[in-house]
Amino acid sequence: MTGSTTLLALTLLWPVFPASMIFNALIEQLRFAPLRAIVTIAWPLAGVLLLPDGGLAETLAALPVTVTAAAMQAAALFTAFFYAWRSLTVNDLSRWARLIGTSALALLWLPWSAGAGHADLAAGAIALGSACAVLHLVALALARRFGSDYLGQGRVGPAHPLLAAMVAVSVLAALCAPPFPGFFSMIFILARVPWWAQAGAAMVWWLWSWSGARVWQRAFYGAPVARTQGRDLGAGTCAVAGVLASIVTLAAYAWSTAWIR
Amino acid sequence: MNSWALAGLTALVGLPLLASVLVPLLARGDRRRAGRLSVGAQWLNLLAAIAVLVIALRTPPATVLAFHTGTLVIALDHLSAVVATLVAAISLVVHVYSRRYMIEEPGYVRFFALLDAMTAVILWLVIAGDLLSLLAAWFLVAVLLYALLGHDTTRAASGRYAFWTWITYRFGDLPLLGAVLLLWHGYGTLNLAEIFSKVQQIPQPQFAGIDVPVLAALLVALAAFARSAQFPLHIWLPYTMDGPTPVSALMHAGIVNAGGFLFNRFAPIFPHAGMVLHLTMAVGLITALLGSALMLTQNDIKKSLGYSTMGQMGFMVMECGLGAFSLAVYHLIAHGLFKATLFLGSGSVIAQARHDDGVPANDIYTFVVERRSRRAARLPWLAAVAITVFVPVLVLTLSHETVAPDVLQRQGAVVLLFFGWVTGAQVFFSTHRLDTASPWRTMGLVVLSFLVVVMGYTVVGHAFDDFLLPDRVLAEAIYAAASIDAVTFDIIAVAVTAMIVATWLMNFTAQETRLQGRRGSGWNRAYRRIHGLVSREFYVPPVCTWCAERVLAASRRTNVWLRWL
Repeated sequence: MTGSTTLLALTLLWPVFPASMIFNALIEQLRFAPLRAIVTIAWPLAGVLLLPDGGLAETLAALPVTVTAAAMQAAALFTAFFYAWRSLTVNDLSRWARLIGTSALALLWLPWSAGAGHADLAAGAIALGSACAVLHLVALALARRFGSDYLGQGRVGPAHPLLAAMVAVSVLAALCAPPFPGFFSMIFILARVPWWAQAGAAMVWWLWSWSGARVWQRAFYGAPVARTQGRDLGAGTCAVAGVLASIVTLAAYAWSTAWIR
Repeated sequence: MNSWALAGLTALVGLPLLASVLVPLLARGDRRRAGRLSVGAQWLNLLAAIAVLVIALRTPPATVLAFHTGTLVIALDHLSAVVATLVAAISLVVHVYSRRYMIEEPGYVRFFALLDAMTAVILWLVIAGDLLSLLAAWFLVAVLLYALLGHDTTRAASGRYAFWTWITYRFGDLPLLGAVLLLWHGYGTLNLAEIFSKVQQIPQPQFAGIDVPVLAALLVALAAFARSAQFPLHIWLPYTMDGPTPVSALMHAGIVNAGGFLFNRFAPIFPHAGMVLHLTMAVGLITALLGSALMLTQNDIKKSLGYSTMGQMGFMVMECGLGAFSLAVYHLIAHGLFKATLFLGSGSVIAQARHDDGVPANDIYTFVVERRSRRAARLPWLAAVAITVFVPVLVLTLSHETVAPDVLQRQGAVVLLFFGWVTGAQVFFSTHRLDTASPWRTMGLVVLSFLVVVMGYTVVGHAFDDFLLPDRVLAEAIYAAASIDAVTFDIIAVAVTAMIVATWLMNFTAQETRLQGRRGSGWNRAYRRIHGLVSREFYVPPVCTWCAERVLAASRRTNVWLRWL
């Protein structure tokens, strides 16, 4: 592939606005939630596979038009900020996961432009995407029990306490809170970029927190949901999820020890 | 010694963490069992904290026992030992209190699990020996506080005010994140002890032409301001009263004091950042004044208590700005115990009021007999003025001169003595205005109490200073950095004294001069407007809400326009 084709493909795989709309349209079209989850993780990893051997600067230098690395970083930051801001007013958990995922994956441009290795970028992509992937599955569980308008009906907790806990924890993971893998990924990104990109990415992180709290507000406060169907999540499902989350978190911590000196 | 310290520190975080996981699993919905398990774990935790304090007392001064696991470091020094003991003790009291107080609330088991997790995270923050652990624990305190403040999920307001705290705390996390990245880049390590040893080197690493310690100190101070409700990041604090009372106690007694702890933790970088200390002093002073003014104008007693905490936090931060870092810790301990007592005692006050509402049984009897005015006996005014003005000066100066003769060489100490004088004079002035049968006896007892309190405070305060900051060179360097040139200092001191004397005179003659002016006059209108502005909290909450609604409306429109893609 030529440099320009690679770069175009990358703007799609590590979504940069307006190419990010294609990524979002694709996820929206997938009706099968596990497939959405798989695509959320595989999509940015495909971007890592496409990465040329040189860094962003070398790739941009090969282009027929002049594009600076700073411009690409700014575009990525704008995308991250734009989607984080838009996620503030979303009433659907799956759609929220999609917007937050777009916002997070756009940030991968920052460490790449700072010369991060492919393996680190792949680990960062998995860390950022995995929580959003889980959220797609949680959204499916909610939709099965409460119908499509599951975030507007009242609090989930009384009828389905384990599912409510799963929503709380997976949203927290998507916000890159410690000790979830996203936290290490954000530190990895922030540690490698210039100060203005650090400030921008930190503001994006803050916007996620605002957005996540609005999801909690809709899911956990007010009158209990009047109409439900189906049972709460099984204790076994939660135990398996807990074990998997612990493994991924430990792996993320182990990864962090490699780049933290 | 080292293995005992490691075991103690591990237990300190591990016990409450284990309790937070095991309580929901073992209790299986049995509330009493959940409460017993959680309180039991907290007793053990307090024992671990005391053991850690004993180990710290037995280690040589200025020694830091650090333990590494991968990139994570936990460290034991005098500061962490003292604060950990305080946190464990307050947490135990809150746990014991919550067992009965929360028994009829839904989510009882969840509440205890969250309380245990919060204790674990705060203790992790206290013993964190590296920047990443500190940042992670700082972040998690906000997460758990959100969950605890919003515990009552039946009311949307509970979640709304928990959200205010969350978003302010997260905003305050950004400067700390910046400080972490700056120090990491500047010194090439996340280990706090290594960073502090490198801070002493010259030349310092620079960022944008400014020394890294100066910028890092500024960012640390900003993070502390948000967490300790400093103006203008204070608005969340009075509204947190919507949370359960035990959480209010934990927060006002412990979490909100984190700003003072942060200043002390990063103390070695502040001798390089005099301007930051001056800014801290100004922010603390403004917050103390505004917090006190807001407290006095609120009709809601809970909000009033919240603003009282804000004023106290302002004073604590001001102490840091004056270089009296260890005094700030002393202050946060005293304030923590005092506020926890107030909050946890509120239920008893309500119960007492239910038992006896205080309304007299017979109005006519009360009017004629009990409220009959007595002959007011007061001291001669000259004696009252002499006691009010000179006794506090004498007691404060002599007590400090006895304990530390060089105390008046430090500007920060002079300012604090000045505040002590104002407070003492206020006490004597109020005593003079009391209706009492034997004014000399009352005044004598108050003078004696003042003497005991000031002597105790001075002796304990200096001992505490030596204990927390055993490196006297560092302590003196912080005081020196907090100082300003003598002429400016004298001008400010004279101006502030004049202001206080004028305020006293105004207060003294308030009834005669009718401070609020004649109804309908221009001054009266201005007076009412100022009062309205303060009582409505300077309109900060509605302005913030309006701004947030505009941002959300724009986001909604954009989403519709782009079809959610």
